[in-house]
Formats: sequence, structure tokens, C-alpha cells
Amino acid sequence: MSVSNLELFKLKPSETTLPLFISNIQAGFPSPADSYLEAVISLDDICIQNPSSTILGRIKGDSLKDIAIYEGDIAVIDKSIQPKHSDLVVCAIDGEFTAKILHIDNTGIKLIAANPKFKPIIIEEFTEFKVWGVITFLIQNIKNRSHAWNY
Amino acid sequence: MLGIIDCNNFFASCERCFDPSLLGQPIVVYSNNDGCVIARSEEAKALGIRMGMPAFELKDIVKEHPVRMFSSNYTLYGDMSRRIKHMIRQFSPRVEDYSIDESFVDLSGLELINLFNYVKNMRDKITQGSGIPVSIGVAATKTLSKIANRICKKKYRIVGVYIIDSEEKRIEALKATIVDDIWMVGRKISSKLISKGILTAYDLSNVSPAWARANFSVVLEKTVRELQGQLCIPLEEKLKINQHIACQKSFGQLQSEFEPIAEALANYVARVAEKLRKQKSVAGGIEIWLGTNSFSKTDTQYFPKISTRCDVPTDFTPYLIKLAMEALKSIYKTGLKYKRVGILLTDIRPKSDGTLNLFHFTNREKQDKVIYQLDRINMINGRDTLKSAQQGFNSSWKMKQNHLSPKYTTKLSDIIQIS
Repeated sequence: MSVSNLELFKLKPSETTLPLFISNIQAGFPSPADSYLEAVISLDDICIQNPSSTILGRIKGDSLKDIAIYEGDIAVIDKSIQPKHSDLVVCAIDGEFTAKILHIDNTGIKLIAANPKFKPIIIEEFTEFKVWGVITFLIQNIKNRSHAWNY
Repeated sequence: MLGIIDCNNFFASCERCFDPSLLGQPIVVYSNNDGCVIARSEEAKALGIRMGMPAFELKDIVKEHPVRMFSSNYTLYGDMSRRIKHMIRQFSPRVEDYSIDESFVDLSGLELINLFNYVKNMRDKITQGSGIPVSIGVAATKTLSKIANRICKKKYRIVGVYIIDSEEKRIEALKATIVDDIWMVGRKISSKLISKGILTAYDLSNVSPAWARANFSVVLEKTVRELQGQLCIPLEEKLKINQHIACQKSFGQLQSEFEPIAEALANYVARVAEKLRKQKSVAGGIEIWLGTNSFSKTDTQYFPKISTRCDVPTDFTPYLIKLAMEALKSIYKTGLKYKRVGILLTDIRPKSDGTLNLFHFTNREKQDKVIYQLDRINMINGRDTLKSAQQGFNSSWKMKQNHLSPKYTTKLSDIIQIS
């Protein structure tokens, strides 16, 4: 077993207002590592480019199973991003939020599910259609899911 | 130039942003206790639903039209407001947050670029990024920018931007605005103006500032000058120390016993003390009041009020609760049906002021440590995770919120669902 393709980082909690070291330093020999401390990595910084336009959403159903997105996953949605061809987008259809792959070519715009069970939705000309937001990151609870694997 | 950014039907738009089934539907948002209408979508306005309309008057309209009703979800509106204000600062470094859904922005220094394109881009980015449609009015003064914003909402809603940048546009805008609709002109003043034959903003802009000051006030003088295009009311960027921190809510149901009223009051005290600490102030005293249901024709009416002083100006919740309880005991009478209790903090001053009482020993440092930890724990784990026992667990006094929507942006179990 190899972990060579993994780089390990230390993570900080997302509450950036909390000081890293709260305790008073007592007398004694100072730690030699003190002068090597660097700011730690934040998950927020990685997953959230625009905090004020980012919304989280919970995935329901299996319409995205072919791209390994499952029920219960948490999607990080950025509303400020201009959607492009093949982005995974959230749209409002028939009064509900739905996540689809945006397909744009010279024949028009289609919304495609990642599951053959669902038919693509073709956006007709002159119908009002708006992308609500673009999914940029996904949070999956792998530990909870691992028991279902056949390995 | 100055701009005002105003969210269109803010509360209703917040509800609609997170619930696509509300697209094109009439929406109303009720005040605390679901009493009366405080926000409406355009569709609701078209049905003749007025601002401030009591909930029971809506019954007939609701029977015929599918009006969607909401209790006010201030957690959601507050967070959306914070997000929008953050976005605004990416376009203009100088901003005055005027209310939950309005901000003034400084747009000076943009002479070399196309102002309309800049503001239009700002408007589109904020609208897209927040999901809340906004309108921006731009002009030489705050008063004129408010007028520009009204015109924008009425005539250029789709564009979302209107700029008064020429003398012709200023005059045209003033002529189209009645005095009632001028910023900072209240109903009393407008009716007095009308009786003097001043009907439009244009009429008002033609009086002499000296006349306005002599016959009305220096406030109206400033309004006249601002309408003429002379900047009198500058942008106030710094948050002013709030001199009035109060909390009063009506009970969900009438209360007669002391305990539930005391519990409600303790919770209100906790809220105002939190606000006090947030602005780094202390209070020198408190005022407590009780009230019966003034709408009832049969109940005995009683509206007592009491003021009391702190030994030392403080922001320490347990002390303020104790003081409030003593005050409440002295005005509470049995056998009455109470509708509300309230608290006002008085003599608010900066905490750094450091007034102490010669005859009183208070270990301020210890209190500060305790309350700092309490605020920290509650910030991470949610409000009232740690609270004073007096705040209790009985909630018969809590307000009615029968139509509350989820806290989409602040609570993980409430986030939107995507199929």
C-alpha cells in the first residue's frame, strides 16, 4: 500500500476569529519549533472563493450517480460564477432545485443528468431559464459510506 | 457622485431566492407574532395588499388567490444583508449601511470611466451573486440619489440603474416626485408644505434655503439644498454608537403569572446585553416596562414603567438580569393579563471609559473573562447554548411564528435540497 500520491496538510477550523494559541506561555525552555510555525491551511479557503455568494445545498436522489455524487452529499454552490459548458449547475425547474450538467453547443442548451434513467431537458428558445448557481466543490462523508463498498 | 443601493422587496426576495416554488407567486412577510404585513412581492402589491395590513384582513384575499405567507425570518434576512453589504464593498470602498436593505456608496473618482457601465456591472453582479434583485440610484446628493432610486424602481426595474447626471434629468426627476416621497420629509412636514402650495420636489427645490430654515428647520434647509444639487449630508462610514438598545416583543399569548414574564424579560436582557458588548459599550442603567393588551375593551389596562441605575456601568448579563428582575418585581401586579414586557438600556457609553464606583467593589476583570467565554461558546455552538437559568425553558411567552421558513444560510439542517 502506498500513500505517495497524497500530500498531507494540517487543517485549521473554519472559525478564523479564534486565535491559534490561547494559553499563556509559561516560563521554561522555549520550543525550537516556535519560529517555524506557519499559518495553517483552511478548508474554507480551498472550497470557498466568494464567501458572500456561496450557498450550501444537500443532494437528494440518484440523478448524479454516474459522476459519483450521491444522496446526502453537500454541494458548495457559488452564485457569482458565470456558468460554462459542462459545468455542474443548480437550476430551478418546476418549483424545485435540481442539479444538472449544463450542455451548450450550436444546437442549443441542454440540461443533462448523470444517470441514464433521467432524460435530458432541452431548453427551448425564448423560454426563460436561469442558472441559480454553479457547484464548485462537494463534501462527501466517505467514512459513513465505506461499509457499502465491495472491497 | 453618490449612489444608493436598495434591495427590491427585500424580505420577500429573500424567501423567493431559496424556494423556487415562489417564482411569480404573491408573497407576504408578517411582522413579529404574525401580526401584520411588513413586506410584499410585486404580485402581492398587485392584489391590493397594503403595507401594515393586519393578518386577519388578508383572509378574503387569501381565499381567492394563492398568497404565500411567511413569518419574519430575521436570521435569514440578516445574513443575506451581511452578504450583500460585503459584495458592495468590492465595488466601492466607502459605504454607509443605512438600513438592513439599503446602503449609500461613494462613486467619486470614476470620472475617467463610464459611470453607467460601472454601476450597471455592480448591480448585475450583486443581483446575480446574492439572488436578490437590487436597484441603484445615482446622483450628486443623497436626497437626489433616493429620488433616482424611486425612478429606477418605477421605470427601469429591469435595468436596475438610474443616474441623474444632467440638469434636465434632475428637473424632470424633481417634477415627477411629490413631496411625500422625498427622503427625510415626514408626513407632518409634507402636509404643511402642501398647504403652502409646495406639491412636488421641484417646487421645494425652488424655495430659498433661508425660507426653509425660518419656516421649518435646518433639516428641511439641507433637503432644499440637496435637491438643488448641493451636497449637505455626507456619507457616514463609521458605525455610530447606538444610544438606544431596547427589546420589546409581544407575547405569543397573554401572560398573567410572574414566572413566564420574568423568563421572557431575562431573554430580552440577554439579547440587549449581547448587542451592548458587540459595540463595546456599557450601560449605566435600565428601564423596564410592562403592558396589557391595549386593544381589549374588557381587560383592566396597566402600563407601568420603571428606571433603575447600575452600581457600575456594565455589560455583564447576569448583573443586568438581576437588576431587571428586581425592577420587574416592583411593577408586576397579579390578576392582570399582560401582552408585553420590554427593556431599554440607558446611559450607554464606551466601555473603555472605565467609570467605577468608589463604594462598590466589582471584579470587572473576572466578569469580563466569564462573559467573553460565554459569547465565544454561543458564537460557535449557537445562541443560548450557555445561558442564565433565569432565561428558563418554558416558552409560552414566545412569539407566534407559524409560517417560519428554514434558516437556509446559517443552519446545516436547513440548507436547500437539490434533486
